[in-house]
Amino acid sequence: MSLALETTGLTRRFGDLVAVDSVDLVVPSGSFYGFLGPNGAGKSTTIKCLTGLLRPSEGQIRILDIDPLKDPVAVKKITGVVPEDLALFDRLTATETLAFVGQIHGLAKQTLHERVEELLQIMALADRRDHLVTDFSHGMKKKLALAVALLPAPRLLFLDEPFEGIDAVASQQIRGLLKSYVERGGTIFLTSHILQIVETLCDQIGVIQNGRLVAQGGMDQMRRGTEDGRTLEQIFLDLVGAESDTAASLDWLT
Amino acid sequence: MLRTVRAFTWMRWRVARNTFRSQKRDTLEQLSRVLATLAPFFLVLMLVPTVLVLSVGAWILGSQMGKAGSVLIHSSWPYLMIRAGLAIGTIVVLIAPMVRSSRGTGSETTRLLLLPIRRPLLHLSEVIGALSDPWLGVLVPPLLVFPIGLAMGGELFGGALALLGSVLFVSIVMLAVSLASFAIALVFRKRRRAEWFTIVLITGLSMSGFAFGLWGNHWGDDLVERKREARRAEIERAAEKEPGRVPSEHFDSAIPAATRVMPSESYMRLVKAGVDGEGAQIALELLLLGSWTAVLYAGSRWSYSRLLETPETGGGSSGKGAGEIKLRRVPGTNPVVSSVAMATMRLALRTVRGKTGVYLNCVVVGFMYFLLARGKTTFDLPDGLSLGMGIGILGGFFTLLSLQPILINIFAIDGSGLTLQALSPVPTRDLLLGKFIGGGLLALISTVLCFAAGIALDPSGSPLLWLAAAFLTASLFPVFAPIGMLLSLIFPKVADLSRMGKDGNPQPIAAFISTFTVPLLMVPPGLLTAGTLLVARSIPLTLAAAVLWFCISAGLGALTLRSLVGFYDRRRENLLLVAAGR
Repeated sequence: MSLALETTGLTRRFGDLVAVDSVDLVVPSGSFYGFLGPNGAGKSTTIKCLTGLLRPSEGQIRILDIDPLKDPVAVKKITGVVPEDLALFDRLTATETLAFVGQIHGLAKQTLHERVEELLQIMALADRRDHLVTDFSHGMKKKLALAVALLPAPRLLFLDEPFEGIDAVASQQIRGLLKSYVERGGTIFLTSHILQIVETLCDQIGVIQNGRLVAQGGMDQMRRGTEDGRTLEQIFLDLVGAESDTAASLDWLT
Repeated sequence: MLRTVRAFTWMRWRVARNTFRSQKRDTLEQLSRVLATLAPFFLVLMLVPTVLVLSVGAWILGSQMGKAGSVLIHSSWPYLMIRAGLAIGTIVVLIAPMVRSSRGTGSETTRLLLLPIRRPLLHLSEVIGALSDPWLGVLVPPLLVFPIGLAMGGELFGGALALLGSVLFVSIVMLAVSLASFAIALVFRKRRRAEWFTIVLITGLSMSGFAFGLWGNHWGDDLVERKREARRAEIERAAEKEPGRVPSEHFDSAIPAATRVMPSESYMRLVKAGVDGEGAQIALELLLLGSWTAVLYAGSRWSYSRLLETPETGGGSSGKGAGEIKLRRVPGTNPVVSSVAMATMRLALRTVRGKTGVYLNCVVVGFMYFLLARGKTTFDLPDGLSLGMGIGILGGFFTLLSLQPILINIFAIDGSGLTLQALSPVPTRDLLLGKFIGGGLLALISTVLCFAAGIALDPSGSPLLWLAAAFLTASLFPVFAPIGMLLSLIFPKVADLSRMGKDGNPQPIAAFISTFTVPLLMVPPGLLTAGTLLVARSIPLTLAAAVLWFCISAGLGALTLRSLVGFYDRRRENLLLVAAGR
């Protein structure tokens, strides 16, 4: 099995806080990997380490057989990222943003033109192409960020909460788009709190809690050994031990 | 009410305190933030002696007036000075909200609106918040101390009345400041309108000094001097005719009648009437001050309500190109460097600071030329030199100063865009070079415009020296840009370049260092070219010296830029955190 992404003992500390603690990720090529965890578990920090925004305190990373710490530019050429803060220039238009990224990736003008057109159409941004990003709604920014990530036709996509703030129609379109991307051999590493979406899209799951990877494997493998018909949500809640938190009753609430 | 005020005070203190807390920031960034927070604090600290001196002065003046009665008021020049001071102070505190970032905008207002506080109380807490304005802080203590001095000097009734007047006057100023703040915040609710407002304001402020020079009186004008003489003689004749008239009355006759309704004037008349015991005048002035308070309160309430109900909107389509992809390439650079450079230039030119920093300098130096020409000032310039060249060089100098908000904060001004660059396959060397070239293009446009203005206004002089002047000016940027980048790396600060005031400014320490660096950079090439021109008296040699210095500065720039690559990589994580607003 060839791997799109592999980490060994990935650790990131901020002072005394260990945000990511010896995480060993295994993401097969062509898989749709769902990276789950409660708020503050270390998902975004892990993604930042994988995409080169943060330098790991310890551990190794291999992305498509390249060490991103040694050759970050080579990795960035074949990966696309929708980060937490969307990473867009406020005062460029949608078209200019895509043109900027296309130029950096060395796309030919004709290719760039075709891809930009197609992406703007599919993201329903065609009629706002000349508007500055600063005037976009959050959902529109998210769609543009996804278009930016897809533009250079990456082999591996990192998506940090891509469906948050996206309307149902766009969400359905994007899901279809991502599915066909994986079917064509691409790999997706996705974090999301919407477990129903993860359940329908992902074939591989990793669960992180308090910076530690508590479970990892195929969706079927996760379900094996559990009661029949258990949903991903139930499995997830079992893994992160959420039951103890529900005991609090807030009985002063009317 | 007290509970609300206490909650607000506590909240502001915690916000200030928490700016120093974050586990994710490195030591240098912590230091930078502490310095940035302390800089205005020190500025305020410097105002303390001023407040003390003014308060002691107000107390002495009050007690002297209390002892001497209205005689002192009528005949004293300090009385006139206080009137002028209060009028100017009122104008200054009103202008302050325009030039600093507007209050009451954005999510903070939404958060306040969600709290269980009635709107009148919310409005009142915002009005009282105007007291945090340092200029108002300077104005209030002397105004409160003066009546106490008056009462201690024996004028109890006058003192009490002056205290009432002071309270009314301070309320009027606070309400006026709030009204101005809310009105400006309302303007800022629409992005494009806000940008135009800021452009007009920056241009207006930059040109105001010249406007006085161009249209106002100036010392060398014979006609103006004759007018002054005539007015002096008129006042002397009036004083001879009516020896009972006092200086303040002569002053009153010289200023426009409309100034009589100004709150500061009304306040001072109330003080005078209180000491003189003129009942009708007292009633009239109290009515006027009360009316001001009521009108301003109503205006402030209305604008605050409008502000709370007006959502923030953008500016619509940029209206350019209809989606056409234009790929412009900077000659001699690879696509990555070119993209970063073009993005840097394009982004800056879409902001108010960028636009004014690039396009305003040629207008400023043009005005300076007209001022010099109007003054008929003659310069004995050495052969081959011309004022036009001076205009060009001065324009280049102004360019670096006006582009400081961009050049000394060149990474953090990208905001989230910096993350996009970090996620893209852009080697650090290319990123720095792209930023360098982008900044250089901005400086180039401005400098070329200034030289064009110089040539249009005074094209005389040796062509070789024009060339030398161009090289001399061009030599400033390659040395300054890496210094700017270094400051950008050490003192990054999230800044909206379409805002005036602290929201749009670079880190104050960086700005302080940079402001001193720019003139210093002028010294070596200035000495070199002046030496060759004035001592060796050779124009070709002057050109050669200017070219040589340009080559040296370009080499220095290239070396410094290369050495910054490693430093950028070490500071990258922190830069990304700052740029993303964490």
